[in-house]
Parts: sequence; C-alpha cells; structure tokens
Amino acid sequence: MRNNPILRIDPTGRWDVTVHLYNDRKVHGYGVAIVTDRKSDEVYRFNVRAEGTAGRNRMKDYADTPLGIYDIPNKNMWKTDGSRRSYGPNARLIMNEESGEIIKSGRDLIRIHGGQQEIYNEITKTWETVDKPTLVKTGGCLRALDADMAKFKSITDNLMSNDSEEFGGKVTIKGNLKQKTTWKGVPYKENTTYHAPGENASDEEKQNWNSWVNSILKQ
Amino acid sequence: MKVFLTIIISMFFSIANYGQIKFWENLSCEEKTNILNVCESELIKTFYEGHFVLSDDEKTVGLLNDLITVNDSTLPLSFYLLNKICTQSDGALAETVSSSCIQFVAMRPIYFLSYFSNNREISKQKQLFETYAMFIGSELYYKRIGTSNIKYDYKNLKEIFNSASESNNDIKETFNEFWKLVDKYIKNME
Repeated sequence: MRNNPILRIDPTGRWDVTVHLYNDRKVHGYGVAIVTDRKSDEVYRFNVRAEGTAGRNRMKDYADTPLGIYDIPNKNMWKTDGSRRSYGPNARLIMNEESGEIIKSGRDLIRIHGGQQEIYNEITKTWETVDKPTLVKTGGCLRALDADMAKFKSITDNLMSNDSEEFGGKVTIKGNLKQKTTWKGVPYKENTTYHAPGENASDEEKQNWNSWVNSILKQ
Repeated sequence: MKVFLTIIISMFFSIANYGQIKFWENLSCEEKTNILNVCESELIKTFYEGHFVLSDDEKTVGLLNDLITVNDSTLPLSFYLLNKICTQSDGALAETVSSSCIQFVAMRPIYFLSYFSNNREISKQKQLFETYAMFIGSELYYKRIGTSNIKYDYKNLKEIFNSASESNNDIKETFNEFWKLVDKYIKNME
C-alpha cells in the first residue's frame, strides 16, 4: 500500500526518500535523492555520491552504499554529534537497515550526510568552506552537499511541524539508472537506453549528466 | 617543526625499543591485568570489557581520542583496541576513524609496522593491514583537498615511516608493501 500510485497517499503517514543510483557505480558513483511527503508529492531532490572508499563490493565494510530499504525513525531521525569535518555542519539522517542488500551485507551506520567540504581555521576558530567543495567518497554512506543537507532537514522539519500525520518513513536505495559505455559528450537518448559519461569524463560532463538525470526524473 | 620532532622521536623509538616490542596478543594474563590497572580511561576499559557500542557519536570520538593519546605503558592495549575498531567500523563511523589511525601510526611507526612484518605472518592480518592503508590513504587525500587539519601530509608521513624503518629490513619491507597500498587508496579516492 505504501506510495500506492492509485491512492497517491501513504496510509501510514510518512515522508520518504528514494535514491536513484547508477547500476554500475564504477562508471558513475552519483545519483539523485528524491524526498516525497506522505501524499507522495515530491518536496525536494538533491545529488548524492554513493561510492565507498573500499570499492565496489557492497557486501564489504567501507564499500559502496548498499541498496535496499532503510527505516527512518518516526521522530528524532537527525543526529548532530560527532565529527563536523566528517559529516558537515548540519544534521545527518539516521537510516536503520530494514531489507534487501543492506540486510544481506550485515553492514550498519549508513547515513545521509554532508561533510569534507570545510576546514577548521585554527586562528579564527571558525569553520570555512573550502574552494570548490566536492562530494568525497564515504565509508558507505550517501554524501550530499552541506547546503543540500540543510535544506533537506528544513523541508522535512516543516513537513512534520505543519502536518501532524507526517513522520519519518523509509529510505529506498535503488540501482535503477542504467547506462551504456559509449559517451558522445552530451546526454542523449537512443530508443530507451540513456548513455552516460564514462569513467574518464570531465566533472562538467558528469554534472551535465546529473542535471539531465534530474530533469528526466522530474517528468 | 612538530613533524620534524615526530620523525626524531620515531627514530629514537625505533632504535631504543625495537626487539622489546610487545603486542596485546602475546602478553600473559598478569601483564594484561597490570596494563588494565594503570589504564586511566574509563572509555577504554568499558570498550575492552565489551560494554561499549561503537557508533558515529561523541562517545566514540572520545574513545578514539583516548586511544591515540596513549602512553607507553598502555600501548599494547590501545593498539589492540584500535585494531578492533578498525575491523568493526563501517558507514559513518569509518570516516571518523581515519584521522585517529593516522595520528596513532605516525607516533608509533615501528610498533605499527612490526605488528604486520613478515615474521609475524602478515597474511593472517592482511585485511587489517589493508584497512589501515585505506584509512591512511583517505586521510592523506582529505589533507590534499584541504579538508583535514591533520599535521601530516603525504610527504612527511612517508618520511616518518622511511626514517623509522631504515634500520630493519623486515620493517622496511612491510613499510614498502604498506605504502603501495596507501598509494592505491589515495588514487581510489579520486
């Protein structure tokens, strides 16, 4: 019944996050997270990186983010303590393992967080954003830009404060973005197959691809 | 200057203590009890006793800080527990562990390399060896992109290891193998 397209309402009253990732993260480790309210209406979307420092085998600790369904606690789903450098200045989302690959892998402490985009200035005693912050690989979590994390939290906080039936729902991570190895410099469509930037594509080409994937998913 | 001093201390440690290095796994019950008795960190003792749940929280950060500010008398216990954390951490916790690992190994390069040296059958510890290389590679990458405040960079950490391992072929060999993995993981971060 959850997110039933006919009913267009989540009967349990939950906001959810669906993360669409590439099926082969060796080629492209990024994806898009789409946040929907309990009526399944999209309220926010942002880019994430789902590559782990230990590589592609998602059954291994520190490797890419495992697919599957994670439960967001109904309340107090945000964590703020710990390392600001690692997780950024904003809260991170707690995701408890529920089903799918994440359960088979036996892995844990997977979150959606920012981080590695600031440096602590020991003279001024303040955190400063580095030049050209990027989404650095994680220990298995999903990394987002700090600004996106702030907005993500603010939007879901507003949902819950304006609607007493809104609670934290699920994070569903899917490897449903497919690609072919050829890349012609701009995104294009051939029948129903979308061609994606190869491993050696420039940042700009990858960004173009991300923007394009976003526009497709909005349709 | 601080890094230079670290190199000197590391060299001194390597000359003075090589051959007397003790690891937790080889200690007698009595020796272990003595170490636990002098250990002042409640977090370390709680974790050792199995009553501490590792997580991406302040308490775990505190435990890691206690482990890296170790003195010689509790070194085997601290290293044993840091190894345990390295093998148990995943996800959000993994990102916090890397800076602790680099600080520990930079202060105790010989101790660290001895644990994995050939005469200690590195193959049995290959996974842990690789995990340390991954954490150190990650941290050096963060340093390179400007998000790490750690005082070590690629060049001076390598120099610390190089200087510390010069006097012993086994250690040197382990270091060379280790650094190849560090390089691999730095590249992997890109």
